[in-house]
Amino acid sequence: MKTKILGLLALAIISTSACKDDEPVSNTPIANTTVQVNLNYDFNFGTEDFSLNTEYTLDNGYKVRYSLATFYLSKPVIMDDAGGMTALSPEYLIVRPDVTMSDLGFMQEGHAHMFNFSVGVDSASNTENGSTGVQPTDFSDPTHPLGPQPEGMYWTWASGYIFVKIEGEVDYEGDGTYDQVFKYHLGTNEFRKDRSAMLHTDVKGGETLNVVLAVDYKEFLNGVDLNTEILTMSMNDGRALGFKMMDQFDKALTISKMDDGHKNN
Amino acid sequence: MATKTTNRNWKGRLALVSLSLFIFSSCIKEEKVVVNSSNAVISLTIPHFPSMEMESDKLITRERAELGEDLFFDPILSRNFDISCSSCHLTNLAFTDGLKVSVGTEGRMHNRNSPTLFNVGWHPYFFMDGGNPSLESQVIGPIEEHREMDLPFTEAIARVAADANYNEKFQRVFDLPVSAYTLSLALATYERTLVSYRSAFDEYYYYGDTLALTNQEKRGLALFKSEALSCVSCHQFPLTTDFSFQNNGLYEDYTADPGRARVTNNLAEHEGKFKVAMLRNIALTGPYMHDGSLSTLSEVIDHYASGGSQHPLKSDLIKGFTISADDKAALIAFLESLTDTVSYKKVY
Repeated sequence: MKTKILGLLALAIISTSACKDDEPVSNTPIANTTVQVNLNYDFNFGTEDFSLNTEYTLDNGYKVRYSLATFYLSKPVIMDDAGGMTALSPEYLIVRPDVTMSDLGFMQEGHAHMFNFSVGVDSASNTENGSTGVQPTDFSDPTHPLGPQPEGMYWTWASGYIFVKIEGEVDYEGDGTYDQVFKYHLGTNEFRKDRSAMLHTDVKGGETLNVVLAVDYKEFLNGVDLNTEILTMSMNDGRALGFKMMDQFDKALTISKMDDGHKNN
Repeated sequence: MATKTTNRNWKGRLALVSLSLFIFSSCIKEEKVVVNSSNAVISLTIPHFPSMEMESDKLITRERAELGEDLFFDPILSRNFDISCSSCHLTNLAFTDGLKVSVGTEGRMHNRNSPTLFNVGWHPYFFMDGGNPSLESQVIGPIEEHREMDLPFTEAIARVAADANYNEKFQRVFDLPVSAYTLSLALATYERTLVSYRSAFDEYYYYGDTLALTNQEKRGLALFKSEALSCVSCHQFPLTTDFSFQNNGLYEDYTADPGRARVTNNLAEHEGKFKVAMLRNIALTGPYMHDGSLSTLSEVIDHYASGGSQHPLKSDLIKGFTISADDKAALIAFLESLTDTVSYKKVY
């Protein structure tokens, strides 16, 4: 047993000494000084749990049900209180309501001051408007988030990723008949939302840092006129509504850290 | 005029399409280029064309092109298995469909005219508004577009992967399974082999065959290049386009299709601007304009002669001109001399 422990220790020393000073901080686990980072999802409709194809009631009595609510989250980073950044992985995540948690890899023990990320895809990778960058056809790995997605998260005609894609139906009278479809396909570089949330917590090696990302899909529709504001592809005539709905999504999204199974807001 | 054959002058001039074989030796014949090795890398070099730029992993091989051709003609890529790429890109119409606007699955009408696929390997961006940067990623467009094949690309990949024949071919050709990368690359490779370079015009203009064009066609060429008509300013040789985006004064109001502004959201600068169309095989690719609104070449010339609309973004080059019936016939004859009946044959 002692031999095994000594061997592991030696391996850890070799691994550590092999690192060059000018290389970015790796989020590969090293010995017992690393902290697992998990991003937990909490999807709600007001005070109710949220899921697709479930009927919910808005304050004005309209019944709504969502058929699609998918978005890109990218470049998650933990920042310490000295401004040091640990880039987490994967760089890009596709988030659907049936996902409960994403493994974001590891950070070194210490102080987790901020959790930064973007909703959308960064402009360097987004091939907006015919520019070169990343395209879904670059990927042979069918699981890569920037590869083709079943709900179509890429506009080929405008060559850009759809950052947030939300679709559903509304029943104005609450009579069981859905009267109108709503579709919000939100994208292009101007729509990306960079978010930064204070964690301000110390974490030790071997612990898990649980960050919670919550989306309230009731808040998303709060202040939206579902009689007229029902369709945008983020382009031209629909651009103003696109910006509004992206702001709505931003407002509907909150980040917190979870301690001992309880949210800390 | 459109059926003029140029074979006699092409005998022994296979340097025009030089197929450089990097791996194994090749056997080149005039009518159909044969490459002995199925793994051969084919470098398409047409002396009077610019080089075809592509990334190193996208080199053309015979096997890739053949696999792409199979997919191009296979309705497996449409939701209802009722149309294929070839439904809107017919070989005998220079890979257009002869319709004003294309008709997709279940008879759904598109709002744009089917463009020729000849020489797409030289395009720097794709679709009439230039919204897509690569031949590979544009493949997703017609497959997913609900007025075309209306099939989610992930489903298209799954369908092809579930076909034992395709599955075996993809493994053999790419040494990879069917994926977004391999499926799009196969189709794009086939499309890169659709080259048109052997018209009577080419023979006259680039290879010095003074008899390749009639006097009427030569007069039409002179008109095409004249300052008064300014056609060649945008339809530059040899590809007959400069790939710029131009508002050609077709309409005052482009609400139905804002062109380049559709993807840039910049109506002030881009409304009604479309990528300058390639004129090779123009006699076969009517109706004309982005929406197929002009039926004949005569109507197209009438449009430019009229000076077009008063749209503020109309190209400064479109000022209108006077053209006699004889000159108009000559100009049409020249445009018909751009027809290439030879390049339909495979180059791999």
